[in-house]
Amino acid sequence: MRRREQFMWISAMVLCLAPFAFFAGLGMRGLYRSFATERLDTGAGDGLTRLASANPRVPDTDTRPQFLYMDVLNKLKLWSVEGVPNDTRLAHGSVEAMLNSLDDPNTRLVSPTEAKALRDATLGQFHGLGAVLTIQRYNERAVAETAKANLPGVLGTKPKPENPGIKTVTVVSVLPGSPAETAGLQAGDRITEIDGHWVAPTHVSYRILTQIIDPAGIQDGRPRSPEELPEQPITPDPDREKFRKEQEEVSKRWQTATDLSTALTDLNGGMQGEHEITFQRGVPAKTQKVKVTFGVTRPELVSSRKINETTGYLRVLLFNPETVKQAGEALGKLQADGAKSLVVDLRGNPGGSMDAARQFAGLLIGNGKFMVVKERDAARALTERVVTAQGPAKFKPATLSVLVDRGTAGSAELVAAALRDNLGTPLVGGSTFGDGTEQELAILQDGSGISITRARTLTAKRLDFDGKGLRVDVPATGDPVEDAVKALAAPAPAAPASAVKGARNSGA
Amino acid sequence: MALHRKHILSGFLGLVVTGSFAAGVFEPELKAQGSLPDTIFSLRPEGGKELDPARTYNKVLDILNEKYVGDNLPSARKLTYTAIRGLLNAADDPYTRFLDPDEFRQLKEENDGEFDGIGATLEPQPTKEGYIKVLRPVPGGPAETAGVKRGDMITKIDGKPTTGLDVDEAVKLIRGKAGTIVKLSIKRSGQAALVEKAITRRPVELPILEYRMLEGGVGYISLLQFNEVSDRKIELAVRDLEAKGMKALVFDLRGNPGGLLTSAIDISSRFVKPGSDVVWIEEAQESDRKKTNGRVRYLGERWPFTILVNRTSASASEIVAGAVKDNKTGTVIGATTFGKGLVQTLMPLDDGSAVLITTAKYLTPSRGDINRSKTQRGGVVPDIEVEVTEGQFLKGEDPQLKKALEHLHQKIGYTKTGKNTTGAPKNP
Repeated sequence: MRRREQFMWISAMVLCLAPFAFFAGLGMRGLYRSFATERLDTGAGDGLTRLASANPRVPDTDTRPQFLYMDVLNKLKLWSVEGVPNDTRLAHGSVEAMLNSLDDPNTRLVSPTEAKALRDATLGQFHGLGAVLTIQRYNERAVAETAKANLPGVLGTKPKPENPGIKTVTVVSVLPGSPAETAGLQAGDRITEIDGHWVAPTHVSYRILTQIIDPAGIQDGRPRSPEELPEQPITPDPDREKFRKEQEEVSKRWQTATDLSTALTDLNGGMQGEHEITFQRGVPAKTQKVKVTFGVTRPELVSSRKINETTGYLRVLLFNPETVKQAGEALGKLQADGAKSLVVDLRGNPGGSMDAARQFAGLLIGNGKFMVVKERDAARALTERVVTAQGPAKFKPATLSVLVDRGTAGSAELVAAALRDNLGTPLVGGSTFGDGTEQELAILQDGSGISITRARTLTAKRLDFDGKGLRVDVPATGDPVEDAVKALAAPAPAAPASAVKGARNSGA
Repeated sequence: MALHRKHILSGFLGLVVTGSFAAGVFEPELKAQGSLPDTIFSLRPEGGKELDPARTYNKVLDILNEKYVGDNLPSARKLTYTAIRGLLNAADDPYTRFLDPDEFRQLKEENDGEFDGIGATLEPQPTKEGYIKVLRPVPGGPAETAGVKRGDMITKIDGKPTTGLDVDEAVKLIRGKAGTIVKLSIKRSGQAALVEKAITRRPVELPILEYRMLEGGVGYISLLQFNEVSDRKIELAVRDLEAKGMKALVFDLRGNPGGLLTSAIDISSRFVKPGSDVVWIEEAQESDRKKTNGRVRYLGERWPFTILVNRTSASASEIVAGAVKDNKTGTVIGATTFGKGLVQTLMPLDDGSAVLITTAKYLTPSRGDINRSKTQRGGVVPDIEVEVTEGQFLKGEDPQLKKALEHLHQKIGYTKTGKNTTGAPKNP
């Protein structure tokens, strides 16, 4: 049916003992035989019959997937001549494959180093690059279309399923005083190479490499007999040569590539010293290279001051129980110092603890609506839940504004949206990052972690900002803090019409 | 042997554990959100830092079911197939792999050399227009009987346009159960109208071997794969060629991807002397076993022979070439072979899928490791190296066969008389 040349590459791998040889082999493994006989009795081991028949009969044994997995694992360990890697590596291999088969780039296996870095990050200590990173599917065309639609600062429309885009390490927020800031990295930058090694959008296995390194050449199969030659004799043409050169370059790129998981590990404390980072920025993408000296960053997470007689300024860089406590104290102090108005600065805040964010919002909006969570119930049906902020309110400013930028992500976006939805507070600065998903990280006993996207978060007014970001009411024109002071507005319960306005303003 | 018992025991223990772990063993630690994880859980460590693959896989299956918010969560079976692929991938052996029921069926068809279809070989690449081109209908096959001709372009299969399909996908559509009908729309060069053909699928046999007589009484046998009937077919071909006065033989293994190990050993025994070594087999936890030719059917004492190989001569082909080269019974001509010194065992699983596991390595009689790896190119290096250039390949020239002929002509003392005695191609 098919020409041999076509499937040669796959079938070249197959030199197998026939099933009868396999069962004959059992004779020499006396102790194994009892196991095999038992399997024969259950009707599972009649490989000979089943192999010979074109339609395998309906299995009558336990074919639950869990048993299938155990079966293969046992067979591999018992029979493999090459030696089997340790259990942790086998487990990682399985988990990585399972999670990568889903459409969600942030449902993935997290290395022990990265898991520790994420844990430390939630406490305000950042390893390596000193930036919060995520994996996004990047689709140049979608981004270009968004840019054409003139939506300032918006990262891109959600990639369409038929063109899901390439998984890319993306900078969410750059922490003040970090190596990333020194090197000039910005939120939204896409890291494509580390020390010249391309960050491949997948795990590169030896299997893939052997196939890439040795693409089938012309000597596949016998030279064709004249009757097999095409009617028109083929002449060597430049297109063919060009194609081959391209293939060679692609294969070289793959051979020296690193993968997403390794890259995130390297950037999160896995690498020390000075390294070269290649990143892309903007539309159309402009590629740049910078040298970065990795180290540990401990930024000031909460800071406050008086801007003028009656206006206080509060910056929160991360939400966790400690920063919310500090923020509460800072608000009390500002109030005692006579501040009537408040600028809340959430620029570069990558989010953090959801509970802490709820508490922080509660300091200003009491028990107002905080967000809408979409998650799965026991029957895997998508359900919605309204989450309120955690009051009571501690500070009721006469006027309020919120500063955001592209580094404002996750729960920080929800806080900003909650202030706008509850108090009509204007958002000032630039469009936010657009992370409307919640990840859960389950740490395994070897220190690695399983990151699962467990919920989608919408603003209190049910706006889905994931992949789009929140559009600001007042784009920054000069000094952002001054703009925020100018934009200060009296809190007002959101008018019914503003729901529509909110939606339009969001850049959706 | 004690080792085996240990492994079986650990296997059973694993099964017991599988049923009992699923209880919640998570401890909430800290909640975070957004680009930072929302929640960080810790699994209460249970003995050591090493992960148990089965438990971890089960846990992930549970977590995904319980928590993953995305649409289109694959079924547990599909996820398990993926997990198994990942598991085998971690073994870092390119030949240890999983076959889902569909892939297993396809492999069986190819190994059996028989499947249900229409009997036509297709160009490996679609045409510029995106059509699938018929390279050659199998003589006497359903396609030929229905009047499908070489060069026909298939534009639709059962009404489905072939544009955008690759040849593999088209093959899947064309194949089917014997007795069913597939409708092809065919465009023929020089004809404007499409030809519609309804073809009844029948069992089709893949050719295993081709043979013919070449100039000067040199027989030519090309073996396309090693399966249960290969050895028998060689026997018949040799008998026929000898009846026609064969004085030497070219045994062509180019493009032969291999097949069954037993078949390779059987066929090798025709090309090495009785009592000579054929191959060394190394298995896990077994001392090396030497396969020696125990059969008296050496062909080399009747007439000289050469073995033709190239880069796509793999595994079983390399056993034959390696045996001949090391025993110096014939001349190996062509290009260095693929380099696959590993033996897989096909193990059917309970649900119709299967795994191929590398269960043995083999070495040539002189204990040469021909396996390609990260550290060596591998392969059997021919006694006489002859490459085919792209230009020669495209013109259908065959300098390797030419060299083999020259070599044998010299051995049997044949000189060209200018008379061409090349026989016509023949199918057994």
